[in-house]
Amino acid sequence: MAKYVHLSRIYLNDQEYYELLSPKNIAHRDLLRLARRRGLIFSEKVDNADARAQLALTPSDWPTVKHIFESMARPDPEEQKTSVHVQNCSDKNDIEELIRKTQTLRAEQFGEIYVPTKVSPTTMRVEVTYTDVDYSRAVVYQRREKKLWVELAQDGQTISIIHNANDRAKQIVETLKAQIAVVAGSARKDDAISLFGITDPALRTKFFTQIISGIEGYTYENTTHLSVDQRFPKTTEDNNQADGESQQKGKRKKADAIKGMVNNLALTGNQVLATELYQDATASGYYICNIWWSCLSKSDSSIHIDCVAGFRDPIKADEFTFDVVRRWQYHLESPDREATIPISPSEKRQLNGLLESAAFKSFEAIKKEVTKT
Amino acid sequence: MSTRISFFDVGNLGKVGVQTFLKGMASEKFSATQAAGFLLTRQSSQQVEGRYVQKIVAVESFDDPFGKKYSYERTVYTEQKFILRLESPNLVLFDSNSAGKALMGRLSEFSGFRVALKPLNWAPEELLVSFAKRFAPVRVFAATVDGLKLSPSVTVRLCFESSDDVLTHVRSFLKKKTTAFESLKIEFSYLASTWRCELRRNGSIQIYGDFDPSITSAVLELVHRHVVRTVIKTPA
Repeated sequence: MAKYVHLSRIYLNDQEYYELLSPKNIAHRDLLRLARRRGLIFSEKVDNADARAQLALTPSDWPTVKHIFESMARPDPEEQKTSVHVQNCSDKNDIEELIRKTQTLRAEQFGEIYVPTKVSPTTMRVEVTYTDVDYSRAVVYQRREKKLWVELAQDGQTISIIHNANDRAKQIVETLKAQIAVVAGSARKDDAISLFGITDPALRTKFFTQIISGIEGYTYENTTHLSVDQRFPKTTEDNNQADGESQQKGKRKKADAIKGMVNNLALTGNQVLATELYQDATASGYYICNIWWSCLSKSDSSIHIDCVAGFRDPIKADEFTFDVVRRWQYHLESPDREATIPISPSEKRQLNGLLESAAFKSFEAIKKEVTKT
Repeated sequence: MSTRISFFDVGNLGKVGVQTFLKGMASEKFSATQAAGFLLTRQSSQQVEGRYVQKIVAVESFDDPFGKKYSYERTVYTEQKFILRLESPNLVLFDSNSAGKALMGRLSEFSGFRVALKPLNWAPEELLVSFAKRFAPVRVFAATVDGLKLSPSVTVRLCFESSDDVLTHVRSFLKKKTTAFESLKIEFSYLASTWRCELRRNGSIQIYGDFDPSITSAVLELVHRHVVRTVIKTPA
């Protein structure tokens, strides 16, 4: 539950208080109750804006603002995950100790609250509560209390880290990685999925198609959403070449008619991968950069899972994100209706693990193909 | 009882080949231990005919009046009968259901996501001409007209039924208004039996009565000829 945070040293002016009391934040009945507590008695039929205007003239007090913030707290849409495998780690590493060190380094400085949990003898999960500040928003809505999760699993000389795909989590993971002791005489090696150097659209697409059909214990069923792009990151060579060519082509370009160019396409529906539009797009150099699909359990064909995979920056394709969004089944009585089945944290961890390993498997296969060519 | 037949075109099927699908289906054969898979009835280099079967096991529970809890396992099999063939329409689904969506996913994956599945749609009155040629005489006993604009803000849907040919009545009722039929229900004789069918604009045909392989194959053959003729008439 992400709730807004208000610093007690900041006083809200009339306008800010008026906006905070808007119906989307506080129900009309609650507004009247609040007014009553401040000595303002309104009829139930009073216009909401009038009541807010009167109430906004009273000085704002800290407990009231805190109460409103608590009442308007809504769960944030769950963030996608990303992962990194740290190789050449020494056997002496204790992941519990790594988390403790990171906590010591960051907790006070960045106002983070760490709650580590031991999931298994080799896996630790840490919940970090922090305040996210967005200065582009109004003062009232600038600070939000958020949570993120970092999961560490040690397997021999490899420590796998799965975490929320956001900048704060990345910073925490960087601090964690810096604490990891490596095997004597070798350097730390981070394995993360990145298609940055791959400029073959077919290979980029293949990476995703291998993932959707490669989740262990599940078969591919349906693609419901797909983003395709045709741009690639510019390398320094490209830039130098472009400078030289641009002078020659400058005159010719001006004479050319302005042509339209579609950079990306988003397709939504059922069996999107089997549509003519997608087939035409792939044939003309577009590649998949984000995909939402559902899979069917091999052991129980009533269980379906919805997954999402993509890159935070679709063009650079350097930070892979993924998540298992939902588990569901068809109603036996009415087979067209879907019913969501709740996923426990441990099940979600397991499903995300399957998705991550399918992604790494696909990435390894792509790397091999690139090396061959 | 009735059988609804839906028709699809599979783009790139010629390049991918039926053998590719056959391989995939053979690797996912349905058995007592499998939760889903294929059961093939006929196969050749030109055509595959079979069913995609899903086994769904659910545990249902209830309380008796004395508060005792009971639970039992309920197994449901859903199956999608299909024909995949090189000639157009390439994919034919019989009584498409929720397993049909999964079947399309499997076909898409078998082909390496290289095929495009496109549901056919046609003008029922054009298909009626093909039916009239093959099964004459054909009587249209019901028709649905959709999207008839009475004014910019009023659109109506009309259903007509008659004991003789309904089309003459529809034309006289609608006079010069341009109409598009949503569906036509027809009656015709074939192999000494009378059959009733519904031709829908969304590319499906519903044959009323018990499933009969002879009328089904005759309809499939007719649709194939109709589609080939229409494609030749209106090249892309």
